[in-house]
Amino acid sequence: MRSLVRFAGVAVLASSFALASSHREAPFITKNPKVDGTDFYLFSSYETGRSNFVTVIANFQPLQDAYGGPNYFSMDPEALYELHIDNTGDAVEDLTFQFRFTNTLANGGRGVPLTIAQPDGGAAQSVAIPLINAAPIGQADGGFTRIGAGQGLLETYTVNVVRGARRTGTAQPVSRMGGGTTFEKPIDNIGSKTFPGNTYAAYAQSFIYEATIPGCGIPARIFVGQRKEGFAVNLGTIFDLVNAPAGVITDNSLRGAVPNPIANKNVSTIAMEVDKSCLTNAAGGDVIGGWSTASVRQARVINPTATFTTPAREGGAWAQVSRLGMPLVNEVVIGVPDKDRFNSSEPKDDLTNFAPYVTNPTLPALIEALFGVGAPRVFPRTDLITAFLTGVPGVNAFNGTNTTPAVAEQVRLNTALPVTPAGSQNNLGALDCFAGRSATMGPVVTPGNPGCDVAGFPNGRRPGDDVVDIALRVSMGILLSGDDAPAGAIPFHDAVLQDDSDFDAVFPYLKTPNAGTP
Amino acid sequence: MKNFRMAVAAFAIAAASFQGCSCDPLVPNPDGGVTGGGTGGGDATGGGTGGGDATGGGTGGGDATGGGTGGGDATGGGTGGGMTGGGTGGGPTQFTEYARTLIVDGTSDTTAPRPAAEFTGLPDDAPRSFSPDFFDGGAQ
Repeated sequence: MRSLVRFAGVAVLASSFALASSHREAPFITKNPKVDGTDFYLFSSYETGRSNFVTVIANFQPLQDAYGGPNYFSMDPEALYELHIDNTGDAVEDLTFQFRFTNTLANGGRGVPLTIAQPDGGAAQSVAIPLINAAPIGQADGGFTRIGAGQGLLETYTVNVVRGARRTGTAQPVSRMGGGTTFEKPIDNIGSKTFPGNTYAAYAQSFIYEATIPGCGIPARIFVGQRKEGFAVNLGTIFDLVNAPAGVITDNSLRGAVPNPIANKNVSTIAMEVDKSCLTNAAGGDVIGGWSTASVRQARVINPTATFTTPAREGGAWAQVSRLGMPLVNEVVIGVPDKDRFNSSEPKDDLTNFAPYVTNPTLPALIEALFGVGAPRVFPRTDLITAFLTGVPGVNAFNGTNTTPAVAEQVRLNTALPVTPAGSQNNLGALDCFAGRSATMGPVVTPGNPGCDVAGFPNGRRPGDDVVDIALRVSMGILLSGDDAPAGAIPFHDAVLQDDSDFDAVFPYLKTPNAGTP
Repeated sequence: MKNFRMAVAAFAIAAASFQGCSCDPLVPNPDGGVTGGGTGGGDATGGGTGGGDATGGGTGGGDATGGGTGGGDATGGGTGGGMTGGGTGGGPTQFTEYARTLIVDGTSDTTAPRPAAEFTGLPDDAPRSFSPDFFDGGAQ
């Protein structure tokens, strides 16, 4: 601790690192915000009565300001958004849910027109307005309107399930209960005049669909729409070389001392809830792995005379530009020269592409340089390999007939472990379950530990798991022995607390988005 | 636990051999020629530049035809249905022409994207123009 007191005099490295789950984390993706995956959640549903289901949530389009009109945050109709499930342990997707979007202007592509006439009764002209709505969508009685006279833009989407490899497997359309394969996405929370009287929540709720997945006899639920940013992080402070007193970020009683600076932001959410039996496979046992990606067509030619429907022409094969599984990996694990490469990569190739970033991580060394605390001294970091790349035996390591599962980065969830209801979850996830401090071959689970919440990260990831604090502590060696990690017992945190009270206790869990006007 | 140890060992090996980002093209361009490559034998003859003897095969049987420049015996290109053929009139494939062909003939939900080595070296000193019809689905 004495070295921590010397913080003010410690020379800092002339480098910086980001610590948002995956918000603008790689150079190239900053040019493509509509396909920028920000967070990926995979957990056994803890909504009452839904524990037989798994919820998968992928957020895109980071750091949305709610007032970002007039176009707000539609999804990219030229992109392919995908949720991948590996249920055989080979780090190759076995199930992929593909989402594609279409933007349609009302009135046959004319949007919302107004008739503009001369005061003297001269010739009138019908002219499209520059906004995406011309009237309130929420109604005083709690109802709402769909596309029509007042709403000029409608987003719809289709969902395919692909069994096998995502490009060459068998694709089948997911359908709405009652028929049809076209789903609608709610318009963003423009503000209190468009949605008076807090009608947005009910409006958005009406876009939760029950859906039929071919090959799955139990209906799933699907929602796509804007949600309040679910991530909590002391963003500016951490970007600025962790510009906080060491005495604060190492005092466990000060977790939550700082309000979440991105709580006023929104994201675009793709959420599914699928019965566990439709996701698991004997090869993987009770465990599934998951991650999200977004891809765009490899070629794009800009239309020099752009139109709403054709600002450009895109074609070629799908080229992946965003990848997200475990939080923070591409932020604080992967080096800048390889961040774009990571986003275009697949988990099955992680060992070849990115091994040293895990075995010999730089984040602890940065913290050591910034704060004068000792980084772990044992390499390769088997504790990180276990936490991020193989899963913990007995917890979330694949436990099926495949006895040689791949070493790869994905979120692994043991679907057989019991859920922890909202209000009882440990915001440090499963961290308290591990004996730690004596383990040199990775964490060992001890379910009887006080506070052990085995349903939490890294066994999947729930919205309320404070992965920043967990990652900081794990990276500094909380799972290692004292000899191997001299600062491993320090309760590092970012002073911004995240827990399950920040979320709804029902699907899609992420809260109603911030409104553009109060 | 055995598997876990194997994984750790594999990681250590990989770590020892890791050399950071390798930016070498997947398919080098011999003698400056336009990337050929692929197998399977189509009708593709693509353009090379600089007098090299860049040789490759077409995959999937394209009909792209072009010519070499600078006296080379360039044959190559032609993947996925004539996607990377040579330029017309004996010139090398221009980047914009490559993009056009990729969009018109290479749009697919089931194929892998083309490797960067196939297009990063293409000239872009004479970009083609696109007709308004192109943006409505036309070929040119």
